[in-house]
Order: sequence, then structure tokens, then C-alpha cells
Amino acid sequence: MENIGVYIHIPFCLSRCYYCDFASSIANQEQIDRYVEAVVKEIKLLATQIKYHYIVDTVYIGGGTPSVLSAKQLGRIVFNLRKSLKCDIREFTVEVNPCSVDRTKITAYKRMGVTRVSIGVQTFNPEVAKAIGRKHTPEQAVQATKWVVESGLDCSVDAMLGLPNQSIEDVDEFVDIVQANGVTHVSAYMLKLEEGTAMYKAKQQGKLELPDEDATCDMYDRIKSRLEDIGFHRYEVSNFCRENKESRHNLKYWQCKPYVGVGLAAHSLIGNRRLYNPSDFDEYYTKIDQGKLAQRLEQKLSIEDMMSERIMLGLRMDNGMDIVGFNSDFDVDFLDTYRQKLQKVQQYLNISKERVSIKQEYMGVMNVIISELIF
Amino acid sequence: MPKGQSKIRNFCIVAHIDHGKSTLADRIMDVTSTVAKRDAKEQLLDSMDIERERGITIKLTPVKMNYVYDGEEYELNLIDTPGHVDFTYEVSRSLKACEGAILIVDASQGIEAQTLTNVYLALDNDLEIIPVINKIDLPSARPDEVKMEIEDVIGLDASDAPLVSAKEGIGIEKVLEQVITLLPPPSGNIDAPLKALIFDSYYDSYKGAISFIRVFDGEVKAGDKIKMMSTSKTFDVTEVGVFVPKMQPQDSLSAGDVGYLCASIKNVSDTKVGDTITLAEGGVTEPLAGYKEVAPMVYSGIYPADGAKYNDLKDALEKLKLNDASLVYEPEVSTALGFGFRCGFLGLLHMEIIEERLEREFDLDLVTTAPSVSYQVVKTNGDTELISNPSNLPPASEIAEMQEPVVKAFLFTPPEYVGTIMELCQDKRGEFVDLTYLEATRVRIEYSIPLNEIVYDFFDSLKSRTKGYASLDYEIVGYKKSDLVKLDIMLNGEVCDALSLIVHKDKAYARGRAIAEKLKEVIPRQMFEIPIQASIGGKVIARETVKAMRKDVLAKCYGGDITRKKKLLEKQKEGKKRMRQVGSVQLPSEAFMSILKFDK
Repeated sequence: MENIGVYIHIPFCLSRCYYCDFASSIANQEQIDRYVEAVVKEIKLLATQIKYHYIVDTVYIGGGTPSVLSAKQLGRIVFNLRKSLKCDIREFTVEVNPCSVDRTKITAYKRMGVTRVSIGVQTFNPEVAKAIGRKHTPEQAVQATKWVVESGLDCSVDAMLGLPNQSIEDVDEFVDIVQANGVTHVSAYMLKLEEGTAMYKAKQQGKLELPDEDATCDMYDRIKSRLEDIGFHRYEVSNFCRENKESRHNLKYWQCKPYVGVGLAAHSLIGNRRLYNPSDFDEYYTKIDQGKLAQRLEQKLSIEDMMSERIMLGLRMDNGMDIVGFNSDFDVDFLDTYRQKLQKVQQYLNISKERVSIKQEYMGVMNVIISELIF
Repeated sequence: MPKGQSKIRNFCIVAHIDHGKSTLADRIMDVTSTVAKRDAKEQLLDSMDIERERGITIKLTPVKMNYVYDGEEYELNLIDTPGHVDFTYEVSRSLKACEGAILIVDASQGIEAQTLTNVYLALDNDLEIIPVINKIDLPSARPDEVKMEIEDVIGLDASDAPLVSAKEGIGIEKVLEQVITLLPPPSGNIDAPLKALIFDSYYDSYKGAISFIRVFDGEVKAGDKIKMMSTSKTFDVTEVGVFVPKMQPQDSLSAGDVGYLCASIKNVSDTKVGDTITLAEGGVTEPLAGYKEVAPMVYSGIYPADGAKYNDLKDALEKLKLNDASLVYEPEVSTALGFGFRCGFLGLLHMEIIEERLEREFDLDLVTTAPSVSYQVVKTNGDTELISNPSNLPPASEIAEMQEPVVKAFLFTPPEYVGTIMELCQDKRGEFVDLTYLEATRVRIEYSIPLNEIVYDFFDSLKSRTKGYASLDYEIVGYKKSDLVKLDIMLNGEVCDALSLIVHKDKAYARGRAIAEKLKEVIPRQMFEIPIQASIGGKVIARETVKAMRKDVLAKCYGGDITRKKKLLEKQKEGKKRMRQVGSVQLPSEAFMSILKFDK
């Protein structure tokens, strides 16, 4: 039996951040109850399909904001997950927002078997937080990390870079707080304005000023070097951690390992099929109420597609793509098949018989390199 | 003879762009019932899409109409003329085919640059001119003032000028009445040997090159053996006829007639505009005056955006050339752009039209280089060379003297813009010639300006400085000695031949700096730092740097949307395909034209 990761999407938030284009709506208790029931039902439906083929080894509850669910609501999902699917859970992450988490909830998470909490901090600078629509204070965010660490759970925090009014000093402060509070994992993203978001519109109307590419990259370079100074290492272009604190669930995405998504707009990779759930509540509920899975086929991957994805995602990781696994999975000789393409970009790569990876200094411009290899 | 010459009137309509020439032509055809209403598209004579969209006429179309006046039936031949300075020679040839011209003047705008040019052309060809005031339906119309203007500026009696709204169909009969009563009928001897003028031609895939002709003397019919006097080539006439406005075969065309002639001519270059047709045997010995070879004045390199489409581009140019004898092209190879063609045009509009037709009618993606003019280079060994591509300029050590084409430019403007226009002209190395107040609100400024400066960004600058109020007309007067240098652009240390240009020495520094700055804007950041240098004779005069790219990475890439992310990469890669590889540098297509546009 093969391992599989389970992702459960909780599409509710207390408020919408100005940069967000994820499937999410403002929470209301009745809706949440309805949703929890649908998710439970979906898990049971899924069980009939995957129970005899896969063992769940990682669980990731993301959003939205999973912490808007009460411990009881979340517990109901987790209980049914464990009951319906074959589980040997090695890592169990829940995303939380500093506004909707407290010590009791963290304790309850621990009792459910959660091993890792990911806190959506984004910034510890109150001015910057305000400019992007985050409602929590820096104190609330620091407090949340303390609760998580004190409960003995792994603590990850998200950082966003290239935000309005953000400076290099903010990045330094961020790393200081990480160091002082026992955080073991940081996801650092450069802001990307997605169409349809409040910030995108403000930018279009000239009402929003953002740090330019160079300033943003300076922030990224800074957080990387500061984190390395305190004993972190980068293992994926946006992810840093202390030794052995990599997110096993997220690694599956970059290693093209199977995962199944539950809930609104969740995606799955099972075998050679990429599937996705509808992002419309009514559509989702209708299917589930009829006792059917809501999944739709996004793409049936050909061997070539799978090879391309393996490269495209694998090279996001600092230790790159596993050539040995590639060769045995696809029954080819990677170095030979890609010889010509590799030659074109070899100055940007570290290549050995076992692994191919992008040199540290070129990780930020990997699209150019990956495009040369996969198209 | 089926009809007497006294009942024929051959005329054309001349006007400044947008004063309503084509609309008036349409109305005249309505009134003479030449075109059934259901066939009438707006601006019927402008048969190309581009003509209709831009509201200009490129190809000429003559049309024969019948009209009863005072109980007598008349044959009216309307010859439409192109409305742009690039086609002055064509206009002059079609005017030559007429006895008279209707001069349209816009009732609110008054006399404009091309109004005068066209009037002078008509006068040069001894035409009777009937002034007509158009657009009297507009609230801003001021017909009485415009009449005064016509009398003062041109010296024509406008007291009886018809007041017309071609759009509303007002006053059209009055125009036709004056055509019949004021314009002379053709004179010419039907018994004399054939003498006919080609004023346009076009290519038909079944009939070959078709000449539009005006017969001055004699008669021509199917079966005649004719001779083109400029080349002495002979052809057998297969068909003659008239346009109504579709082609309608006739037994013959005789002195005074306007129509078409087919003679299995395979190439439009054998039907040269302005040439005289006579009979191969017993023909005249003296051609009609005024024929000249048309020489292209503006050159540009045209390359397929996708190098593999070279043959498609070649086919397309061949097809366009069939219909447009004034388009010239020859293959050229650029290290930056690969295989393409150096094309010569009559002017900037002609260039734009050809490029637009190539892209639209032949569905080609093009990369075009900045337009250049042709320079005369006198070498130290005494040879003279005509250089139309800056990269072909001999080394400075071999050049004794360089000459550049100079134009006589007329600018028409409200007086408040005189200052800024003169500043612009001075800046463009213009020499002031004359300034005339046409009336209190309109001034005509004459300058002598190098064509090289006109093809850069003169039109755009003029428009932006005068809010579009000023108009420009120019004619090329000849070559003049000038202190010119070749400005090279180096990207990452390598000269990019397609970006080289020839400029006046005094302008070289400023232009070099401007181009380097502009290129810095349009060249996207790449994997390494790219120095941009402008140099003259190996000496660097300006330098900019495109910094190395730092950020090109897909956000997140969690399970959510891998398929979409991959498509994003694919799209990005597609975009790169449209870039030109110049040495190690990726250059977007617009870089080649962008070196033109930098007026403050």
C-alpha cells in the first residue's frame, strides 16, 4: 500500500485579507456546521475509493482559516478521518490565524493528534499588517507562537515579503521573533497580486505603492541569510526550517507523491489524474448530498506530463530532483534523455548521478531554467 | 463615333484628408444612379479595408457615369485620387487624365496643407478648378469665411462655389451642373495615332495587369498591338472597357475616353504609372510629358517574427508588388533578425500601409526596423553609392562626403503654435524659408528639413505639440551635403546591426543617450546583466545597464493548481519565443521601432 497525504480545505475566515484570492467566505456558525457535515460525508465517500489502496501518512488542514472552527467541529472531521481511512499519521498540520486561536484550542489540537501548527503571521509590523488587511496585532501573533511551542507542537509561521510600507528592518525583526520564540519552520512568500483582489484593484487605480522587484528580492535575500544565521536552512524556494522540520505533507506536492483534497476547491493527485473539487458551495453541496464525490478531472497526465511536473516541482527544492527515482519510475535515463536541454542551462545547475538541483543563486529565477528543460 | 467629345467631362476631386472627398464621390454616384443603393457601401471607391478604416484613398478607381442635364445626356468620368503626400506623383498622373477638378474645402476647417498642394498640382496640369464648400451641415461651418480664404489664399473665384453637405446629400446637383457648364470637354484627335496615358494599374489574377488609361488621341480596341513607350515593350490588347464602377467591356476607347485596358501583361511593373501607350506600328514618337520613375524615399527592414515564415513573407511581398509598382524590396540578412527584406516606400504612410497589409491580409507577424532614408555616399575613390541600410555604410575612412535627402516642408497652423513649431523645426535641423499669414487664424510656415528628421518622430512631435491642429505637407527637393555619422548600438558588447542608424553628428550624442535609455526600458531583465552602449566609430558615447533578473519564480505551487501553474510557464515561454536572440540577449520586437519614439 502506498502512502497518501490528505488535504482538508476550510473555506471560512473572519475577514478577507486584501491580497487573498483563495476560496473562502466570511464565517457564520450555521454554514460552518453544514460544511463540516459535508466534509465528513465526503471523507466517507472517499474511503470507499482509496481505503484499500492508500495509507494516510500526512494530514494538512488549511484554508481559509481552520481555526475559525470550534475544537468540536474540527474534532468531528478528524474523528471521521481516522475512522474511515487507513491511517498511520506521521505529520498533522493545522493552519491558524492569531485572531481565532487560543490556548484551549491548541491543547485540543494536540489531543486530536495534531503535530504541527502553521500560523498565518505574514508580518509583525502593525502598519504593514493593516495595509494588507490582517486584523491581528503583533502581540497576538507572538502569543500564538508561544502557545504552540509551549504545547510541544512544531510551530511554523508564514511571512510575506514585498508588502506596502515593508522594510528590511521588518524582516530582521521577523527573524528575531522567530528565534526568540522557538519557531522551527518559516514559509516566506513574495507578494503576488492576484487579479480580482482588493490590492490588485488598488494597484490598478494607482492607489497602492509597493516595493519594487529589487527591494522585494533584497528582503527575500535578507530573510534567507538571517534564517541561515540562526540555524535554519532553505529546503524549498519559499520554505525554511530547522533540521528535520520540513513539512512532509508539502514535500509530497514537490515530489509528485499522491494526495487527496477534501472540501471546497481542494485538488488531488491520484495516480496519473489531477482532480479538483468545485469552488462553488452550492455545486459542492449538491454533489455530496446526492452521495457522490464532487471531484472533477482537471488533467489526465501523460508520461511526458508527469516527467515535466516532476522536474518543474522537483527543482523548487534545494536538494533538487531525485534522478534515481525519476529513472526507475519512468524507465528512462534522465541525464541522457535531457542531455541537450541540460546543456543549455548547465551553468545554472548542480548535476550529479543522483540528483539535479538549481544553484542557490539562481533559485529566484528558476522559471527560465525550468522552461528550458520542460518545453 | 457613338458619342461626341463635347458630351464628355473628365474630372477628379481633390481635397485635404478628411474633407469629404470619398463621401462626395459616393453622393455623385447616387445622384447619377451609377450604383444601386443596395450595392452602396460607404466610400465606395475606397476598395481596401485599410482605405475605408483610415478614410483615405490609396488605389485610384475611375468611374463612368451618365447624367442628363438640360435635356442632354453627358458622360462624366470621375477619377478618384489618393489623398496623401506619399502619392503625389500618382495624384499628378491622375490629374493629367482630367480636364478639371472639384476642389473640396471643409466649411469649418478651411484650407489645409494638402488643399494647397493639390491645387498647385491641378494648376500645374492645366485643370479648371471648381471650388466646393463641404460639410455645411456642421454647426461650426463658416462657409463665407472659407470662401474668402479660397479667394485670398488660392486666388480662385469662390463666389459661386456650391455649398454642399456630401453626408446629407445637399447641393450635389449644383456640383454636377458646374462640372458640365464650367469644365471643358476633352479635346483630341480621334484620327491621330493612339496616345493614351496610364494613370494607375492593378493586378488581376485572370486578366493580368490592368491599366487604367486616358486616351488623348486616336482609338484603341481589342486586337490592337500596343507599345509601352518607356520600355518599348509590346502587347496584344485583349479587352478594353469602362468602369461603371464595375468593369464593363467596350468595343473601343477613343480620344477623350477614360477606361481600362487588358493585354495579358504579366507584371504591373510593365504598366508604369505615367507611361504613354501607343500603337506598336504607326504609333506616335513623342510620349506625353511628365513621366518619371518613382523612387522610394523611405526604407525599412521587414523580417518575419518567426524566422521560419521567411518564404511566406516573400510570397506576400510578391503579391503586394503585383499591385503596387512603387513598392521595392530586396532580400537582406541581419545578424540580429535573420533573413528578411529591405523594403523601399514612397513615404511613411506608404510604409505603414504595406506593413499593415502584410500583417492583416497575409496574417504575418513582422519585426520592422526603424525607417531610414537613402543617403548618397561619395567615396574617397570617387565612387558614389546610394545607401539605404545603415549597416551597409562603408567605413568612415572610405567616405569623402555624405549627402542626405532634403524636403520642402509646409506647415499649416493656428498662430499660437508658430513658436513651438519653429522650435521643433529648428531642433530637426530645419532651415527657415518663409512664414505667411493666410488669414488672421492661420499661418503657413515653410522650412527646408532633412527627410531623415521627418522619418524619425516628426509627425508625432508635431501632433503632440500642437494638439493636432497643425498639418504638414512636404516634397522632396534633392540631396544636400551633410555631416553624418553612423550610430551603433551594442548589447552585451556586440553590435546589433538592426539597431544601427545614421544621424547628424550634432545629434548623435543626444540620440545615442535617448536610445540607450529607451532600450533599457524595453529590454526585460535577463539571467545576466546587459550593458547597452551607443557608439560612433567604436567610441562609446552613452551607456545604460539592464540589471540581471532576480525574480522569476512561480508563487506557492502547493497541490492546488499545478496544471494552471504549468500553463503559466508555457505562456511565459511562448512570450519569449516572440523575442529576438541578438547574441546572448533576448530582444523584444518593439525594441527595433522603439528607438524612434522619444520626443519629450
